[in-house]
Amino acid sequence: MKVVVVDGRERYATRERFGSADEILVGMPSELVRPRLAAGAYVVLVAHEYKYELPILRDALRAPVRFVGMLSGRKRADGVRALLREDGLTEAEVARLHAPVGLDIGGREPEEIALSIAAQLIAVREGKPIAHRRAGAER
Amino acid sequence: MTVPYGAIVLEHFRRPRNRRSLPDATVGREAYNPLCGDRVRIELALDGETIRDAGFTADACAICTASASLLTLRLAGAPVAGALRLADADVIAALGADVPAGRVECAVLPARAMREALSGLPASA
Repeated sequence: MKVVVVDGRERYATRERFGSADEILVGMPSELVRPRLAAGAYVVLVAHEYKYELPILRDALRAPVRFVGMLSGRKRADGVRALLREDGLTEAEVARLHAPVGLDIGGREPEEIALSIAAQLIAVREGKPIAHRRAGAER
Repeated sequence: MTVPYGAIVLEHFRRPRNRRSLPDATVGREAYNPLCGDRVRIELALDGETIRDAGFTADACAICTASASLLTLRLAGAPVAGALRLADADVIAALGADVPAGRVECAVLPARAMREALSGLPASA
């Protein structure tokens, strides 16, 4: 799996922070992501910034990508879903959003949350049913 | 999700006007706020000394998006000289909200992009 890190903020999208990424792209996130929304792609939004999430989700949830997930508590995720509906996305499109992203493995540390997200991506890739979301993402 | 800036900001964030690329843009410029990560691009189609059409693209917060929306409404049909005279205070006043000091840069970012586009200035970060 090729990993592409996209961010609008130069101070975060650095090679020091993402040493193993195949590509690191900085610019207008929605425009950088749009040409990569191909069949089989996995999109995971972890910026916790609706300014980046909403423009990408408008495209990603209508694209033939394999998976769309967003790091979020349940309350904020519901707020984002409401804004997507206002933007005209259908219920079926909104339902494609996995938020909070990540399997419930009980972790709370950043590395543990990253592991839970990676585990979910593998489960999707392998066609395993996803029964649980992260328990720590109730807010 | 709370957008505590009043009815005008909320309206233009949720239903932004002119959020589109202009295929026939004469000038355009992207501005970036490194503090918060807002990015906005203003594109203008000129007809001589008049701005015939204005559009914007943004991955930006509510106040920046609303400001870009309001700015493009104001620019369409306006003379270039008048657009360049538009002050930050005018842009902030159009939002109809009490913009906190820490968010002023968000509010004026689209106007900065517009001025740089019209002046041929290099893009700023």
